[in-house]
Amino acid sequence: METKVKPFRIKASENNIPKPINDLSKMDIRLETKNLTVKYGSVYGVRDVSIPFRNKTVTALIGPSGCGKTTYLRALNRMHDLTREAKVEGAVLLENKNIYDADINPVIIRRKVGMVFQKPTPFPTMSIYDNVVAGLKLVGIRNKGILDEVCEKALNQAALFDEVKDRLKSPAVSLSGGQQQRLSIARALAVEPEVLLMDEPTSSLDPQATLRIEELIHTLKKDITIIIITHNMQQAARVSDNTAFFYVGDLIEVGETKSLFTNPKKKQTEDYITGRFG
Amino acid sequence: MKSLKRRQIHDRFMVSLLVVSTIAVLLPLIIIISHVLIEGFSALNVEFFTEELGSPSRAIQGRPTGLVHTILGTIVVDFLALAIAVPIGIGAGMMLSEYPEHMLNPTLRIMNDTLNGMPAILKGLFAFVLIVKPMGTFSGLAGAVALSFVMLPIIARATESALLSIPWTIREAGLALGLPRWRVVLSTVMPAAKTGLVTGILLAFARAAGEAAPLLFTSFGNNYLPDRWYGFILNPVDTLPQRLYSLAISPYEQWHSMGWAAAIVLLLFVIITFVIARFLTRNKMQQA
Repeated sequence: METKVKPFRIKASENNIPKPINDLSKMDIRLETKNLTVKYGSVYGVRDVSIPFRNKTVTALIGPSGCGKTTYLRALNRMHDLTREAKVEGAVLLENKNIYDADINPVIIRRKVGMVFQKPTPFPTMSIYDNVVAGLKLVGIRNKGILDEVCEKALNQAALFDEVKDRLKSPAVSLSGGQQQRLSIARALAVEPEVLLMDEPTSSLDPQATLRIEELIHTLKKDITIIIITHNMQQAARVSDNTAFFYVGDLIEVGETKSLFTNPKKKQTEDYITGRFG
Repeated sequence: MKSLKRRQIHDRFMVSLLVVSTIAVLLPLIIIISHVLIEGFSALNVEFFTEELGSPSRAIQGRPTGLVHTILGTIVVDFLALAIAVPIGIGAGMMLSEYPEHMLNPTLRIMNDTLNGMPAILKGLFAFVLIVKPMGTFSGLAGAVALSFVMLPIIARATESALLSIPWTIREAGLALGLPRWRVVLSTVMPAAKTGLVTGILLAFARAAGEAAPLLFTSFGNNYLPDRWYGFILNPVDTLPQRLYSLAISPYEQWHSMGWAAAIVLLLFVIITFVIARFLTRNKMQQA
């Protein structure tokens, strides 16, 4: 990944942070970043990003490759903890508490903020069933009644149950790519997260499977907050309530999806969504 | 067209060079194995596996003699070494691959490579100081400790590469479920790396099973079976590589052929270990 580094601009004040179009601040904010900056050594991944995420909405993060979307997303459940070079500054407020505070256990945060990755990530040695309940079973929940119930519910939510109900004990890797991705989603849902982060969840899927996952996002929105990265502009338009446009580590514009796509405030946003670059 | 012809000849010449080096690699192996089989086969009989060695006069006078105590001793010492080295080695390997950001990690890597490159005889010397001196006697335990030093760095490095071969995304997926890091490694990464782990342990086992140097002044050797079973651990004990050496430098013709037979047994010992391991690591989940 090649990241061009622009000279670091003057420290952002409250004024030059892009304001969302609809005043999100008055609404039910579930997750919020304030001046979030992630650095890899001396290279900036994202700079000074402030976005509020309303409860039970879908926010799409768009922008060209290497613009910092994934870096930003991974900061939201402390995935950068594993990368020694990565340094996170600013705040990520989950229910008004900074998840980077010293007294916060990242394991608890990740239980509340789940994640689905670009490629399906079934645990290779586990069965379909064990994959779905992994988040519960591996922390000591052994009650078969509870596990069965959770497994069925999560697979149903991920629109996979009917396809696999007769072979829950077969290896997860025997599923097709699209099914594996829905399995990964079911597994993330089984621990009942409040926020679900999705990093290009459909990039390795065919249109049919993509459609199913988009339908799934619509259903899930009733219960949880979703933040999704996508390279597909139509997808962003289809699934999201709000959209944030990133470019070279900066948040250029964030707002209601409809107005961002029809009436972008910034030139760069317009150029990108009309396909002039990226 | 002429240049095409030339390129084809050139190509054939280069491939034939590769064939020559392949043969050069295979030939010594074939010669060694066939020579061992030819020389040792005559000394292999039932008594070889049921009798202890005793004094040279037994062999010279044609009385029953064998290496049962050596074979049993090798099994005890090697598996004891494995029992010591596997948990520590896998732990170190996990540290190397799973906690790259830990401050001890770079030190461990250097130390591990140094230990791997250290001459085996020095490891024997260390086990001598560590175990033999305080105990006041050579023992199977001392031999096992010396061999575990041989196994340790190999197991650690093999564990590291086996774990690293599992995509990093598997770990992140586990962490994203709110699982603690150690749990993710233990329950998702380790099972997926099982084949690699077992292969690494076997490589270490095979390597250590062939070492004579660290055993010469730790388990020392013994011509007789111990009176009690724990004599294999607490008293001087015979092992195949070291017995092979003693038989080979002995002045008795009969012992020389017994040495070749011991070499056959050592070869079989290693080969059987490999076959068992291949069998154990046939994992249906991973074939799918």
